[in-house]
Amino acid sequence: MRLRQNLKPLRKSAGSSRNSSFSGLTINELPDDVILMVFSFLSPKYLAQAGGTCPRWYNLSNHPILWKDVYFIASDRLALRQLAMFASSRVAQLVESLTLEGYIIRSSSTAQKSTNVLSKPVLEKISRNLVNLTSLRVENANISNVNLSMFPRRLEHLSIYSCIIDEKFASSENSNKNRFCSRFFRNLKSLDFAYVHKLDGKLSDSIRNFTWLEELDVTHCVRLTKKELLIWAKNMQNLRILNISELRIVDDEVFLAFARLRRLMQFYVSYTKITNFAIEKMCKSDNRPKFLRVFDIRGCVNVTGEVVAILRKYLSLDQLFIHRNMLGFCEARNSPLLSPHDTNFEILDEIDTGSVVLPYFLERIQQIRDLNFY
Amino acid sequence: MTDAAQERSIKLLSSDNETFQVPRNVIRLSNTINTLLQDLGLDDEEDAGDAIPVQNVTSTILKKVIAWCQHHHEDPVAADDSDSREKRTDDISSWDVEFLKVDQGTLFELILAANYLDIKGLLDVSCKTVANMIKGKSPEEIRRTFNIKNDFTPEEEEQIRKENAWCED
Repeated sequence: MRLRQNLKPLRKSAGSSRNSSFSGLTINELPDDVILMVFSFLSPKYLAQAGGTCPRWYNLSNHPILWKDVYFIASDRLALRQLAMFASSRVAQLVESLTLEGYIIRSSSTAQKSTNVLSKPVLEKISRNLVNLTSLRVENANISNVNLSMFPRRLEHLSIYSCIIDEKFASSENSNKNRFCSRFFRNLKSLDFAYVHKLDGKLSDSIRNFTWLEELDVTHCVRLTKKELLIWAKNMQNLRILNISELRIVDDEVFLAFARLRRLMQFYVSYTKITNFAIEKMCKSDNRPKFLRVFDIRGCVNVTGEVVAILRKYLSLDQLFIHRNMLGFCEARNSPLLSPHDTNFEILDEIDTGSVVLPYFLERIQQIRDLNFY
Repeated sequence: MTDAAQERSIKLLSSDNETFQVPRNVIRLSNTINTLLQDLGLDDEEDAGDAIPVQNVTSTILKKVIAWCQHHHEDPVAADDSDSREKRTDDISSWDVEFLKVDQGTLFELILAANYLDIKGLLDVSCKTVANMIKGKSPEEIRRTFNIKNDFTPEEEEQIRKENAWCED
């Protein structure tokens, strides 16, 4: 909670609390920062309800800090109709980051064949009314009859994680499709299409024009081709975080093409075909990514513990993600090479990651862990 | 920290002038006390000397706060969950749930004490407990729960109802 950092301990006593050990203190004798702290644990719906209690709560419930990051996920998910109304509400202007999850149910009488569609009118409302929105995350939704260009254009972060899209998504309303994306999304820093299985030629043509992107996640976008990835590697010189995990087409050639990106800080290539050879070549190249801090090679069956020594020698990694059963890593972890001096270099497997901060896309595993993932 | 330092204890003086002897290790959960001892340069001294007045906290509440710290002082330092997606309030440990089964007045006093002493863990669970009392209730039910007076005008109430139309299922 960001809020916590802004809360300073209270210096003054609140009213009558000092008179007796049981003062019968009431909730409205608590100072504003404490009420805000309580409100910070309420999801949007409950927060809005609490605002209807009394004028003081109404004012506090409209505090910008409470509406900065809004999640309509899990049990807090909104129906499409509710979402449209929320987009027109006063607090919507305060939202800087919005996460929508799940099949958004259209309950109106105009429901089409499909009942779980994030459709154009709602998206337009979001674009128009959420004037401060810089981050939008849509998860597991069926996005239909919506074009990428309809998303708010001032976005810095866009994620359509694990969504179903149709051919309309990438199609250009403009005849010149190469110009299509370069006109929009000038502020876009990060783009996440993980598990969007329909991400294919058209869309990837658009993506390659986002040459200013700093973060890209195309985990398991199974329709991507090697040729497209090689073009991206050439075009996107600004990438700092790249996730090309779970792509069968990622081999040594693709890996090395991306490994030349000088600014790369986090590189996720789990479950790909890359080999020791490619990793060694990356390390020994003059163009190696010198700023690389996080490297994920979990489930790469052609990579063995031998790479640890090379990675250690040529790069200054903070974290290397592996699987416990990967060949030779057990020995590599126990080798004297990783002496206690190596406080900064951690080799982490699936059990360790339960106790450390995870890269953002592993958050989900953390959640699954609660369901006895191990 | 040396063994001796770990065994050190600090004296706290409640607002109603009761003195509590607390192991330094236990009260380290209070950032306010930590800062105070450091600022005064008392943290290295063998004898902590005079009791530190905790002006806003009564002995009843201070006793509870110390009990909470006693139970939690060996907890691992919580990871920063600033990226946490869900506003979870169902993750309160069963010990804390029992601990916080108190009347509202005491609960709010505990919150104030945790806030004043800057004990993050205690402030968190106690605020979560209050949040749980708000969750899923209509404004009228919330007012009843906390004995809050409804001083909205009917017009204001109507306006807020309109604003919150998106909440209605």
